[in-house]
Amino acid sequence: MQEVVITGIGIVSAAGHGIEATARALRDGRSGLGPLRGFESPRNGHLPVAEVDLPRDSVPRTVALGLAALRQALDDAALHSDARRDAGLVVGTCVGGMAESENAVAALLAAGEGATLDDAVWGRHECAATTDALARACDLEGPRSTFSTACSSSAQAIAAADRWIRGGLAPVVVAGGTDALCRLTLNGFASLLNVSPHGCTPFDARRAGMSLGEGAAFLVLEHRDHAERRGATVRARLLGHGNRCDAHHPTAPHPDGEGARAAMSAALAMAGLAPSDIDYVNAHGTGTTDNDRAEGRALQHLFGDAVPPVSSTKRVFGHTLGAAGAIEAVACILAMRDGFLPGTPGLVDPDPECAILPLRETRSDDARVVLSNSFGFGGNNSCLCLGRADSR
Amino acid sequence: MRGCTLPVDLGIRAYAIAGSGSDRAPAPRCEPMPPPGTRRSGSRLGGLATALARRCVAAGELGPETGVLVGTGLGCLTETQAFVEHMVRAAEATPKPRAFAASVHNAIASEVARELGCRGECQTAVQGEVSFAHALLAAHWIGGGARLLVGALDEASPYVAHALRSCGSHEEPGEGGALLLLGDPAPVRVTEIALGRAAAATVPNGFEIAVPDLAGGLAAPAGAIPFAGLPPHMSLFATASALATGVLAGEIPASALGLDATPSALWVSCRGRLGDRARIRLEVSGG
Repeated sequence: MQEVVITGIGIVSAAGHGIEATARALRDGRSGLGPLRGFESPRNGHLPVAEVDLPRDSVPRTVALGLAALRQALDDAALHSDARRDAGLVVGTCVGGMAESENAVAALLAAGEGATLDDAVWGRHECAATTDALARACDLEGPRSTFSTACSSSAQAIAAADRWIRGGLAPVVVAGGTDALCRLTLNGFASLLNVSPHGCTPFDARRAGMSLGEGAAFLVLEHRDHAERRGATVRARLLGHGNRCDAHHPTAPHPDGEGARAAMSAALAMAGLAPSDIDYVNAHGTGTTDNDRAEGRALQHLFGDAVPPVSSTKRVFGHTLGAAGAIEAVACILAMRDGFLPGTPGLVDPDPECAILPLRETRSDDARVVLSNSFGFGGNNSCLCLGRADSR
Repeated sequence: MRGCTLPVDLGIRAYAIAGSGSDRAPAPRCEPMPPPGTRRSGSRLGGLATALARRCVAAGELGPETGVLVGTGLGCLTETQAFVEHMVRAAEATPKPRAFAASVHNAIASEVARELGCRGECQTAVQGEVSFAHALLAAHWIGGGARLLVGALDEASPYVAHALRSCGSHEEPGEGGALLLLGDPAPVRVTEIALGRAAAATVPNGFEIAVPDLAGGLAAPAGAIPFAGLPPHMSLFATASALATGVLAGEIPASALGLDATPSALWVSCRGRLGDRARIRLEVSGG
C-alpha cells in the first residue's frame, strides 16, 4: 500500500503562532488559558479560555484563524502555485461562521418585525463557506469538503484526506480544522456544567470540566513518491486512522470507552501495528469527569498492563473543538521531531477512576509511533496513528 | 476547482424520502416531516433521519459495524435557533443544554446510530448543497459491501427565509431529504461520483435530473430533466437521488420525471451556491 506522508504543518493557537512557538509551549507545559477578551459576555472573568492573539477584523474569525494556519502549512510544504491547482482541501469545523451569526441574530431580534439578515452573514454562516474562503484565499482548486462531527471534526478531515489521496481523488490534500470561540459554545458547554471555572485539569481527581479554546491547524498530505518527486521534506507519516460511534448517548461517552477503544483498534489495524508498537498517546483528555474516565478505561482495555505514556495537552491549547484533532496531531508531530513527550499541565493528583497514570511533566523520549485521540458529541470517536518522519 | 470523476460501485438496497419531493415516492418510502418544536429530546432532523432509516431497514439487516454517513448544509436549525435566540433574549443567563446538545451538525447521524445501534463509522459532511455527494464518497471509501446508511437532510427556518429575502429571492425554502441503505444485493447501484465546478457536471449522454440550488439557479445542461416544481433546500440532491433510485427500481413511474419509459441509468447533478458541483450516475443492477 502506498504510504501517505505529511509534508507541511501549520498551527495557530493560544500556545502561539507557528510550529516553533507551539513546540516551546508544549515542551514548557505552558498553559494557554486566560480571561476572555474577544467579546463581551457575562462569562468574562468567570471561565478561563484559550484565546488566540490575533486581531479581530472583518474576516470571520474561523476563516482568519484557518488562514493563518493554512498559509503556514502551504509554505512549510513549499506547495507553490502550480501544485496548489490540483490540491484538495478538507476542513473540520464545528461552528463555521457562528461567531458572526450570533451577533446578527441579536441585531435582528433587536430590530424587530420586518428586519432581514445581513446577506453577508448568510454567505458566511455555513461551515462550507469557511472551506470556500480558505480554498479561494490560497488558490486551492482541487476537490474540497467539510466535516462537522463536533470535537472529532478535524481528525475526520485528516482521515478523509488520506482516503482521497489513496483513492486517487487528488495528489495532494491539505486537511485540518479551525474553530473560533463564540457565545454558542461558551454558553452551551457551560449549560452542560462541563466548563471548569479554574481551568481544565485533565485526569486529575479534582477535575471540574474543560476549558474552551480556539485555533486552527492544517497538514499537507501526499503520497511519499509524490513528495519525493517534488523534493518535499517529509515531516511525519500518517500510518492509520479509525472512527467508531459509541451509539450510546447524545453527549456522554460510553462509560467504558467502547467506541474510543474500537477507534484506536481500527487505527492500529489500518497501520498494521500492535498495541505494543505505540510509544505515546495524546489523549482527548478534556478534563470532564466522564470523558477522562471513559478514555482511561478504553486505554486500559486496549493496552492492558502496558499502557504507553499518555498525556493531555488541553490546558496548553484549550479545547479547540473542531480544530482539536488537527492541533493535537501537530503536537504529536512536533514531539516526535524534537524527542520529547508533552506532559499534562494541570494534573496534580491522578484520578484512580481513570485507570491510567498520565504523564504530568514533559520528558525526553524517542517516540516513533503515536496515537492521537479526538472524541465528540454523539459518541463520535476518531483516532489518528502517526509515525516519525524517519520511522520506516 | 477542477473536475474529478471516480468510478464507484455502491448498491442501493432501499431508500426513504421526507419533505419536498416525497409526494412522488410510493407511500412506504415516504416519511412525513415532523412539525418543529414537537420533540422533547434529540433534534427534529435527528428524529426524522431515524424514522427514514427505519423505513429503509428490514429486521436483522443491520449489524453493530453499520456506518451512518449524513450530509447536511445547515444542520439542526430548529435547535440552533432555539438555543441562540434564547441565549440572546436571556442575556446568556440561562442557556438551554438540551438545545445545545441537539444543535451540533453531527446530532443527525449520531441519533440514527444511537437508535439503531450502529457502531461503525459515523460521519457528517457539511459541503452545502453537495453534502450528499460527500457522504456517498465516504461510503465508497469504507466500501467492502458494508451496510451503510447514507443520506442528507436539511430543514427550513425563518433565518433561511430571511437570508433568501436578503439575497433578493422571494422563494420560500423547502425542507426534507432522503436516506439510502447501501449494501448488496441491490436493485440499483451508484456507479460514478463526479465532483467539480463545470466540466465534471456535464452529462455524456442519457437522462439527468438537475437539482436547483437555494438561490434559484439550475445547473441544467441541454437534455436534462429539471427537478422543477419543488421548493429548493440544501439536501434536495439526496431527495432527487432517492427518487431516481425509485424510478430505476420500477417503484416510481418514469412519467414522474417526464420520461416515456423506465431508463436503465440516470445521472443526478447538483450545483451548490458556493460553486461546488456534483453528479452521480445511478444504474439498474446488471443493466
